[in-house]
Amino acid sequence: MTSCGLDCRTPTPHDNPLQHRQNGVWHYLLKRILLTIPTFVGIVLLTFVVIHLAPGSPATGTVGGFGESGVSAANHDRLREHFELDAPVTKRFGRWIMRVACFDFGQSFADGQPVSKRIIERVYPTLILTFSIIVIALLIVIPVAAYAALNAGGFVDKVILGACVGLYAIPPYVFGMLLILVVGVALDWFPFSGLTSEDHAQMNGWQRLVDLINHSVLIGACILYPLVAYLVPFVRATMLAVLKEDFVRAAFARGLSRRRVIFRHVLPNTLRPLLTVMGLIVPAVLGGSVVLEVMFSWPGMGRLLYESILQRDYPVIMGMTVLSAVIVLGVTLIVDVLYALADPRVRYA
Amino acid sequence: MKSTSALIDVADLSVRYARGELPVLRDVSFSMDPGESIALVGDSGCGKSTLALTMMRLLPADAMVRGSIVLGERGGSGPIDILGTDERTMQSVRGKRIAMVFQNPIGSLDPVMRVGDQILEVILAGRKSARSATRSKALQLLERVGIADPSRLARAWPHELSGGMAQRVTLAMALAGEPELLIADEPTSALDGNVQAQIVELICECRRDSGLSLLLITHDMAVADALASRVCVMNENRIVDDLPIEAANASNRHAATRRLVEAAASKRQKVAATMDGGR
Repeated sequence: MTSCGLDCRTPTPHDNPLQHRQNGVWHYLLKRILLTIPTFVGIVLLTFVVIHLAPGSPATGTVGGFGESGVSAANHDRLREHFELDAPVTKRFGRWIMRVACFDFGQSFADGQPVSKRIIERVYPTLILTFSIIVIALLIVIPVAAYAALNAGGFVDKVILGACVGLYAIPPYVFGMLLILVVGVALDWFPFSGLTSEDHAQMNGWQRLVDLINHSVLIGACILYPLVAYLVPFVRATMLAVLKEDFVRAAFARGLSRRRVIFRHVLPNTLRPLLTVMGLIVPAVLGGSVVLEVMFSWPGMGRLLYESILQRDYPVIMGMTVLSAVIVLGVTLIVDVLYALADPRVRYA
Repeated sequence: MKSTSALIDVADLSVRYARGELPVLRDVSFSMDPGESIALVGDSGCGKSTLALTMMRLLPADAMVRGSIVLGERGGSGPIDILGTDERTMQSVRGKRIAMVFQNPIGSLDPVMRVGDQILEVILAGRKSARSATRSKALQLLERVGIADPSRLARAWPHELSGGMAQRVTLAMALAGEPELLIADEPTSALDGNVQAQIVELICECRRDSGLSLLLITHDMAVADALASRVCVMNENRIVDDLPIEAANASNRHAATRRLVEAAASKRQKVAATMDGGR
């Protein structure tokens, strides 16, 4: 999805770059925003086609797309008419996109509520969880990876790398099952189902927050560990490559302290590639949340998408797609802009 | 420690890597007097750069070093045993007593830090001084290495510089600590012909102004001729010849010396022939 933006990152030489500095960032930003539009249209079109090609229909029953339908032929036709499914796909797409242009995503086939309302109440938990976990992951990854890189080949480095490979090899749904059985059921340390306790409504603000966090610990751990296990070797390898660069040796030769070389020269150059990877990780985490949210009965975006797909609730699916596309493209855009700010060589491309 | 008057004295220096079979330096000994300028010449891979890095104690952690390197006394502080001293002392040696300029000038600047900030950083290393005084010192340094518009250049990023400009900047950074010895590792090899001449001229000027000693690493006898008064020829990881530059042309020298001298002579002839042909 980001492929159309990739060639923007290849720097090209300029005759006199000192002259072009002023508008560099804005020019770059505008170009990136314009490139986002066709990508967005492509995603939305593709999803619309795929979901309408999938077997089953909202008119054959409210749950499940396969098997015998309990709906009579007359009701089936009425429902098709009610959901406007009798029109050709092209016409339906036209109507839908016109409404989306006015921020009207329609009503859910499942319960008749506005799609926007259904989605919004599910978005907050997932987004807050995802971004907190990413921040926690970075707080763990950067120091651990830096330590491993600076002591590369040593015992601790080998233990860290081994642990990462081992953890990354465990699928999150297996790890999640283990957590539910051991930490949730046997030890009873954390709740493993839902987002709130039954008596959540009676709690005060502070207790509510603790309750929400308690309900997010296990699912959060399932999102966190693969991220850490993936990023630590990546950051370590990047840092090892930076440590071999000429400018690092030159900085030492100029009499700078080890601490200064590492914090002012090695780390900034290590974190730039990490920024790119973060742009790819956000969609992966959001996608992975579908399985985990279903497993932990956690009322987030992922579970809403899962339920809507089972019910062939086209308006909700399409609404979710638009939202995911906006989030992912937004994150990619932010990453690109941050990248341009972090690396002067990107701006003039 | 043979003589305390020497600027730096290298004795029986051998280096090998833990994972490597062969030594990268074998029993290297030489000594430099204050103000002297030595060219260290030899084919690539003969250990010239390793010698320079050993003198700065910047070798990778798995390098095994034998021998001794003693930096002469200055301003009340006694001689420093480079290989034996602590890291803090080495920090005060690097950049302040021995400075180094590298072959790849753009690559030896941090790509994501403005040129001016990198110079300030070097001036400020291990020192406490006012920011404004430091700024004007940075601009002075840039002016000294022949940069016409120092304040504009200070705002530039390393990738915006040409090779020659970048080498001037790294030279300014090397001069920032007012060192006694400048180690220049192939300072002109990555540059265009006419820029090479300018950088050679600039190094000459700096030596005249401040009595800086120079250890020039090169495989180009023409550059050695222009800058050095003495030549140490390295071949297969050891020093095979150590002589005044005028003597390098004599016929009774080591085969490696003769080869380098002949290579320089044939290059001069080729250049001359090309120029004649062009007329």
